[in-house]
Amino acid sequence: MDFFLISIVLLLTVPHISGLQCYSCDRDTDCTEMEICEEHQEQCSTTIMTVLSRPKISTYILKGCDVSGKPNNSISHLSGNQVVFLTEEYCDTELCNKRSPNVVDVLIARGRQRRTRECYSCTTADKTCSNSSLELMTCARLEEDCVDIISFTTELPAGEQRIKGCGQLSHCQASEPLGFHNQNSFHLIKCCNSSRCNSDMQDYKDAPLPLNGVTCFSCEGNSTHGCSPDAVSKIQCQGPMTQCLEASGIHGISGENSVVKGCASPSWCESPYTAVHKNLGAIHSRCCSGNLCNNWIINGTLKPSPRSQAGHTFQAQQTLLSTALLLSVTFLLCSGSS
Amino acid sequence: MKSLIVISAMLSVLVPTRASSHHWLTSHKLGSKTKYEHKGCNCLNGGTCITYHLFSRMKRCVCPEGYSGDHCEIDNESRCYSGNGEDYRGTVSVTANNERCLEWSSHILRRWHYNVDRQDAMELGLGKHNYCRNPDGQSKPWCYVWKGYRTTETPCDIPTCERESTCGQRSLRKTFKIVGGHKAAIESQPWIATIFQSTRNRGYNRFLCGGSLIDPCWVLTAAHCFESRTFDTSRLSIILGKSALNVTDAEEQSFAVDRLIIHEGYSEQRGDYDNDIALIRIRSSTGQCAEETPVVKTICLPPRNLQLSENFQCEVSGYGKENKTEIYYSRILKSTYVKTLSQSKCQKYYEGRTVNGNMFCAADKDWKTDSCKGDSGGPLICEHRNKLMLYGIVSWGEGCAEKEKPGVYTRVTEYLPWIESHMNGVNFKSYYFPK
Repeated sequence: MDFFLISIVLLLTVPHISGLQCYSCDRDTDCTEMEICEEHQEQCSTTIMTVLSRPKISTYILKGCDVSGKPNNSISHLSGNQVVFLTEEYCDTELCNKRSPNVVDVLIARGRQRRTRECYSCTTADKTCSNSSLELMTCARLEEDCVDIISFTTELPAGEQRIKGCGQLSHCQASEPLGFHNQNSFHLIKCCNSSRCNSDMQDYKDAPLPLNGVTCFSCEGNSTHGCSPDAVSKIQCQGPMTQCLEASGIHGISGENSVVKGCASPSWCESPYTAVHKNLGAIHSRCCSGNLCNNWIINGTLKPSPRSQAGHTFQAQQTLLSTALLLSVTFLLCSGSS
Repeated sequence: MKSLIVISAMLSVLVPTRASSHHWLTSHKLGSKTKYEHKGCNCLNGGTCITYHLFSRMKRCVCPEGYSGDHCEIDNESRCYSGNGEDYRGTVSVTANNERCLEWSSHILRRWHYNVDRQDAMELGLGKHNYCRNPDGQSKPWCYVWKGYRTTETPCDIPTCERESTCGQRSLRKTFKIVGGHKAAIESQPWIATIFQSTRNRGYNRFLCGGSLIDPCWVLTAAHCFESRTFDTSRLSIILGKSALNVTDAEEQSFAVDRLIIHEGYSEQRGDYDNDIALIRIRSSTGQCAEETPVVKTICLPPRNLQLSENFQCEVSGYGKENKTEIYYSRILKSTYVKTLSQSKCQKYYEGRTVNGNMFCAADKDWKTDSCKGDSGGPLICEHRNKLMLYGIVSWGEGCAEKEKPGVYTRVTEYLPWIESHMNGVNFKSYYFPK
């Protein structure tokens, strides 16, 4: 009987003691530190960048807690006489990000595979994304597509940021690019599955895609700054971004509630890239068709069924509840034995 | 009753644990991922930052040719060190006894004073490499060596950059005149540089100015050769060892402009040619500086307080016009002798114009030869203590070889600190992050 009661008490309290724990490090190869994740961080992540410049291999590792819903992705591209490999893996159990995928495995595979794709590779940082300086690279793995990742923001003075190369990107299909844009930013992720298919050279900043006739609300920020009712603007959607998107979640850095609105392609709506690009955890996202239909989130909350994102209140309530339960059990026991 | 004690004991243990764990959580609000996002790339030496948005915004420096390292701090082309080598960021990794250096990140060095784990490792040049460094102010770069089960600090064998006096030496001593003169063999002026500008529409290269090679990587010239501070340097090319403008010599070396530094005090609007001096860092298509050959050599800079007396014979050379009305440049390298004039005499010749201490004048005794248009930026060299020095830069004058209108030259001795600071600035300062 005693044992049973203790077990109940344990069951009631233990889940509140610790959140998820992840290994945590920054560029350190032997990663032994750990961190306790915050409430909106429900995944452990491992990001690895390996730079191959014969005969040297340099590896940079980034591990830690991250917001939920981000997918596993990998790309590789050329940079001068170097090859850069990037992989990101997520998992959601205690200290699950112990392992670090090894690029040597990839390289061994590179030696064996025969019918891998050949893709164009460039980066705007190298100034190689122009017709004359595009280079071809052979992908390491059979599963890899040719990719073209474009993003720019209005704040950065730098123009279009672009990476072409090989990659395996979640939710990325050859049939339709993943795209999102609002007044602050433009993101386009394109994948294709035949050799040399990523040859598109359009500069999406200087030569925007044609408007598709859809108008959406556009904003980025929290309910007081950036996405307050008077900060929300209207934007005309481009190309395949035919849906209106709105999402709210907890920002990975500030831990504050954050909202984003804009135009998105149907494939983007079904993908986790809003969470990835805007770094949002515990995300609630919806897409809709029709002009200015993304008007459900007002003052940072979803209009029809407001859900409190105030995590700390919730946590405090739980703590109170469990303490009350404990006390009542104690009281019962006391009265029972006397 | 026993159970009650157990439960209360558990409560007393659990409640504080809960509280402390919560406290820990809030005080460590920024996880490594979030900390990382605030960091910039800190790319040195003209590196550009690339941000991988899809990969937790991981960042990387893309280094210009010749540089490597996480922040482009390693100078792959550095072949020597200056001073005590604190600034040495080259890639020599063997000691004087030909022993292999230990990586600064080696676990053997964990307990040693200088290793990659130091807070200031980056500033000291320590990283994931085994290149010789001088982080502690010793007399020259060194590294740790693992020898006979012991780790020792061992000096490296790297040459010093102290300019061995190969400057100002020429293999031939044929000198002729410019205006009304004869041609000069390039071997007699191996430091002369020609600056060309490609025209916008046609692939034609227009001769712009002369210059002087003062270091394998640096050409000194006149500021007025470049119309504005926002001059498009990608259209410039520098050729060394050229005997005539319209001939491509087999031994000439050509370069692009890596950097053009026009003196801050030069003003085109003012039009007084004060501070008429500019520095160009040259770089070949393979990233190299000039290579010393019989037709390409450096000229010495004068000592800081050298003040030549009046009537001192110096030599001026260039590819400029034979006389001011001539349409074409002489195209052939020419030299002539001129004599220095006193400051007061020169000011008298140019009444109403500024002839200040940053300038000096030189002319032919009989006003027969002079520098002329197109010689601008070129060298005026004088012999001092058996060495040839770059004493002046061809700057301005009225007409050419006209009576009582001497040539006016930029006084190089006034700009030695400026030259040094800019040359060192590019060579070394960029190894440190701004404080």
